[in-house]
Amino acid sequence: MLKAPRFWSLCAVSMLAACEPNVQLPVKVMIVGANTNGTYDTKQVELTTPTSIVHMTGPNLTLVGGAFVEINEQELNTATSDEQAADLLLKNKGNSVRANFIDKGGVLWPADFHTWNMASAYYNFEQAFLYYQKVYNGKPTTELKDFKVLYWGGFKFTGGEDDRDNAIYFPPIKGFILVPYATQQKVPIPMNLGIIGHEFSHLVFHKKVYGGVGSPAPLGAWSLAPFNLLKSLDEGLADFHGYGVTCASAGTGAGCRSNLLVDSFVDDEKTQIRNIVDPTRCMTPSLRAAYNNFRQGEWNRSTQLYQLGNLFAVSLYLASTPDGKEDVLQKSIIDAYDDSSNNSGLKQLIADNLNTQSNFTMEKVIDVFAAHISDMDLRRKVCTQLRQRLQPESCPGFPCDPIPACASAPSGTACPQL
Amino acid sequence: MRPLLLALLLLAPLARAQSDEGAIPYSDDEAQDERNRRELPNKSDSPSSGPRDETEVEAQEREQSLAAIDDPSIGLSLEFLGGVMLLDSSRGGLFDPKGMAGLRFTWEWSRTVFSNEFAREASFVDVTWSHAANGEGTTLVNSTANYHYFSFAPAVSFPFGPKSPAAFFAQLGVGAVFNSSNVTINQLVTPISGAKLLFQYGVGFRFRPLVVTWGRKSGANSDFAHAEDGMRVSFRIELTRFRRGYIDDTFVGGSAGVTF
Repeated sequence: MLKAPRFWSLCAVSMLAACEPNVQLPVKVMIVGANTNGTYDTKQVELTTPTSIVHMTGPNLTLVGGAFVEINEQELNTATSDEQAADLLLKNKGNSVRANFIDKGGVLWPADFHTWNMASAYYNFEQAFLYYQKVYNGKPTTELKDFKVLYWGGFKFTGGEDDRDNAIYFPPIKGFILVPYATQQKVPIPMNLGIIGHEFSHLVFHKKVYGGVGSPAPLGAWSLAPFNLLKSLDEGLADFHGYGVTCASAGTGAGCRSNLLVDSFVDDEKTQIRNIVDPTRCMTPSLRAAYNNFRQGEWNRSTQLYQLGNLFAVSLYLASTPDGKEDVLQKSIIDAYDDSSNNSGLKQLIADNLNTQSNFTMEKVIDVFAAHISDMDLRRKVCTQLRQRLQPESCPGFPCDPIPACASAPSGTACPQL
Repeated sequence: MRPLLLALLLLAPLARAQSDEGAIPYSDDEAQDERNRRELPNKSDSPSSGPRDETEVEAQEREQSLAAIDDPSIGLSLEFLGGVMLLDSSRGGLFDPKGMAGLRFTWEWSRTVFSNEFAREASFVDVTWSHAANGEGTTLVNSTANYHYFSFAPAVSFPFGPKSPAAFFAQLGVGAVFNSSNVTINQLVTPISGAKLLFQYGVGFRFRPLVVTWGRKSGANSDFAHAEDGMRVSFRIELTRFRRGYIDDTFVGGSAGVTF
């Protein structure tokens, strides 16, 4: 039997040993990630930003567990500031996560499912940030740091059901929500780099195009085609950049993912809408009708929202990737988000037409992009792809002469003219 | 001869002459008696005059021997442990409740070391193994974590009363947690395991009533007719906190077993 002093010493040692792993950056951890052949495996990676690996927090992001967001529109109408709105939305602000690791020779191995999930999510958010750091091309990326990720968070509309199998960028809380899985039994969304890259791209779009405000003005003021175009543009560009995030992370063996959803969702028609490498994607009469006639809520719930967005993503992919110019185009598109020079960006186009929504058209959006692509061959191909796939109605034929930047682009023949 | 006779004759007139001078006062008999009584010892100092009080040492010796004979068990227990382990929620929830089971060996060591009745009941030590598991994930990617807690935990016990089979206890211990985990991706299993130091503390109630007797320890005809040897069952209800590394788990449950 232990003598009392020796026993108390042992207790003291146990308590002292009850400390978190000492973080020395970069932190070597194991995650679940993709292989180039589409399968998933455990992978050793390095996290470069966490200040606490147990609480999954750092200057870029902080994971918060157990939080719950409920959207009560009547309640939200009483909010007088973004901060007040965030307080009203967050019914439960959540707690610090407490990742459970086993240290094996300096490499931290997750010891339970949620720790695998959280470590993978943290890595994927870091990779998305690194992609945009490259795409920002030397410009400050401070606006892309210091956000929350509500891990395993609750999300619902009042009176509705809890959201499941989803990842959401939610500006009012200045962060993301990774809701629990339910019916989708493939790769959990936090482990899917492409989906995290897609959501991170919404953050970038929101910061640059909407100025980072909690409730962007055009989303409240606009309706019908201008609103629908803006939402689809956000989704399509998020898929295009999400693809870029997976390619940029190829060093870990992940490989480019042309369909961000297929690893995590049942491979059905709804999932296949998001494939960005399919050259047969074109505007259709039914899509055009929905685009022109659906109101906000209807468009947001529709598959047409993603179908139209996919036309942007496919166009950008096919214009750049075959020539190996995707990195040039990625930077050009980001430049086009916000440009206060004479060569206006999307943010300026929206601000100038906040009360004249009919001026926010496909043609003008295409022109803003084209005007920010300095590589003339790439510009021509982008114009061609966007025109033939979107078929802007105000153009009687290809090319759309009123668009100065795209005036010289060939019409293309990939899509039948409507 | 003549002088002696004369002396005798003189003595008598002297006595008469005295009484004749007035009444001779009686002495204060009552006060005299009380005074005399106070001067007497209350009891005889004689060893043979009646039973004497036992000394303090004698009293201790008597109690010691009684305590050991009253409950002669040596205090070795084997118990099955069961309950709910509120595993620390890595995802930031309050906790993840999981079933827990285990085995516990208890030695009421103070019964062997001390003979004083209070001291005999005052302490015991547990050596425990317990297990909890946590599995979660999708069909394609999932993980199972097993936690094996090994601990050595002395306890102090406070019986509800003299010779009570029930007691409150408080406990502090150390040990190790062996954590084995599997992550399965598309049916390919990757195992990982490791150990962490364990610190535990908790409180609870312990009952150990005598249920089977098989004889009297020191003679049925002795004054200690209630001194029975046998088997006791032992139960516990407890709340124990485990700190494994930097993670806190809480056990709510109990145990049942036998004590000899």
